[in-house]
Order: sequence, then structure tokens, then C-alpha cells
Amino acid sequence: MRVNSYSDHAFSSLKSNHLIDKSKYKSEYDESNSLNNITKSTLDNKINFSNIEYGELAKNIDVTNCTKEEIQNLSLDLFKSGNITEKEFAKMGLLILANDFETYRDVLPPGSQDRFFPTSNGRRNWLAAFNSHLKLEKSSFSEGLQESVKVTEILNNIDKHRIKLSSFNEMYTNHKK
Amino acid sequence: MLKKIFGIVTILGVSLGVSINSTSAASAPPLTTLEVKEVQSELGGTESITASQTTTTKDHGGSFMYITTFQKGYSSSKTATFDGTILTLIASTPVDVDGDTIVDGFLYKWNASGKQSGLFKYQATSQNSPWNTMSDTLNIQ
Repeated sequence: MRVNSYSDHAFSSLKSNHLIDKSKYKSEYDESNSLNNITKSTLDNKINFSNIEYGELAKNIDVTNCTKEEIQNLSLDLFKSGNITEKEFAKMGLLILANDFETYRDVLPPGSQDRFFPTSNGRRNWLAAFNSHLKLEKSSFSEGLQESVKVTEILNNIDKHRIKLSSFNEMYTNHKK
Repeated sequence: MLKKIFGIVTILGVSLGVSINSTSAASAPPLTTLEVKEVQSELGGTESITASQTTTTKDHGGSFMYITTFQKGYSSSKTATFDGTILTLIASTPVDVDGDTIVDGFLYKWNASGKQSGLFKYQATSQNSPWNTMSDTLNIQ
């Protein structure tokens, strides 16, 4: 089931267009404070963000304030467009479930439920949830850490573009006034 | 004399350190919960599975199909099958259920791509006492 504003057609151009400036995104990635040095060097060698149209994605989803269905649809579209591998798609699905109250409905001890509840209208900050889960994976030396790092970094990049877009729109509106 | 005292203090300190370490290293919690949580496929999309559910409501299949299981506690062995055929694990992640930043269990995603309908079964055996075995099944249509 697909809901809300996040639509399939918005991503139809993902595969065909390759307008991203690789060096620009690599540079932005290098400046990110969200990853430690070890993870960074791994990413520099193995992860290719080149085909992802972050600007287009950022127009359609706010990863800091969206529903579970929207983030699931984003994951599916990234997979279908070839921007994440099958393993990364599978891992992203697990990261979503790992941060979803419904996963733990039968086992949650009283008083520990609040952190899973969405803010309003079923929306929550998935970027923060992914970053937080990444820390757990790093501390427990989990398998598939690289996949988690990549999908979290994709969300980080989408959010950076959303902020840029928002600032640009604000400047444009002020200029028109 | 001073050397002797230093030596005794060092031995005491090392002994204490060892005993503190051995008491703080808690063993992994045993398996207490095991559930099928989600089926995801090209044709059926993403379907959440409730604890009482025995059959999927959507028709699954297509180019990909993954089944996600959740377990609270650590297991020494785990197997997922689809109509008796052993499935491969495609992804896993630790989970912190109660928010204390300690791993309480795991989510596993099993690759059933190429399958259409049948019986999914997940079984795991606890890593620690009481070494119990738990299982869950789901009919996938």
C-alpha cells in the first residue's frame, strides 16, 4: 500500500539521468561528521553515490519527518532504480523495522515505548533513527555494517539537499517580496 | 620493603580487576521470543505480520521475496525454510528493544526470491540456558 505525497513517478528519472557531480558529493560526504574515520575510508573505496539524484529526492520526501510507508517506498524506489543493491535494500528494510514500534509490540517492557512513537500523523525523524541505530551496529560489530552506513548516508545527503532547497526557496520568496 | 608492599598491592589490584571483569561480563540473554514480522515481494508489496496471523493476506511472489523474522535473545543456530528448502540470510541487524543501548535481539531477513507460495518456517535454538528451541510458521500465498 502506498500513501501520502511520495510518488513513484517522481523517481522515474533516477535511472536515466546522471546529472550528479561526483566530486561535489564526495567532497560533501568527506566533510560529514556523522561517520568515524574507519568507516569513512571503507566508504571512500567502495560506495558509489554517483547516480542518485538527491535534488529530485529531496523535493519529494523529508526524511526527518515522514511516515514508515514513505521511507519504505523510498527504499523500494532506490532499489528499483538500481541505486542500492539487493543487500542494501534488504538492510534498509531491517533498519526501518528496527525502529518501528510494531516490531516490538509484544515484547516491549512498560515505560520504554515512547521512543518508538511517531511525532504526529504517523511521521517521525527516520534520519535520526537510522543514525542512532548505526551506533548500535558499530558498537556490536554487526555484520552488514557497510550497507547500513551507505543507506544512512543516502538519507543524510537527501536531507542536506532538502535544507539547501528550503533555504533557496526562502531566499527566492524574500527576494520577490 | 616498599617493593614488597607495591607487589602485594599490584597482586590485589589485578585480582580485584579480574573479579570485577568476570562479574560485569553478563552472558547473552536466552531466546524468549521468535516471530515472523514481515513479508516483502514484488507482487505483494510489504505486508506486516501480526503475532496471531497464520497466512498472508496478500498474494506474494515476483522477482524478489524476503521474509523478516524477529527474535529476542541470542541463538546458537537458526534455520529458515520455504516448503522444506533452506533459505539464505540476506541481511541482519541487532535490536535494542528497551532503549538501554544493549543488544536484546535480532532481526533477520531471509531470501525467498523465486518462490511463489508455500510454508515458511523459522526455527532457532537458544545460545544459553535453557537452550530451548523456538519456531514460527507462516503460510505465504
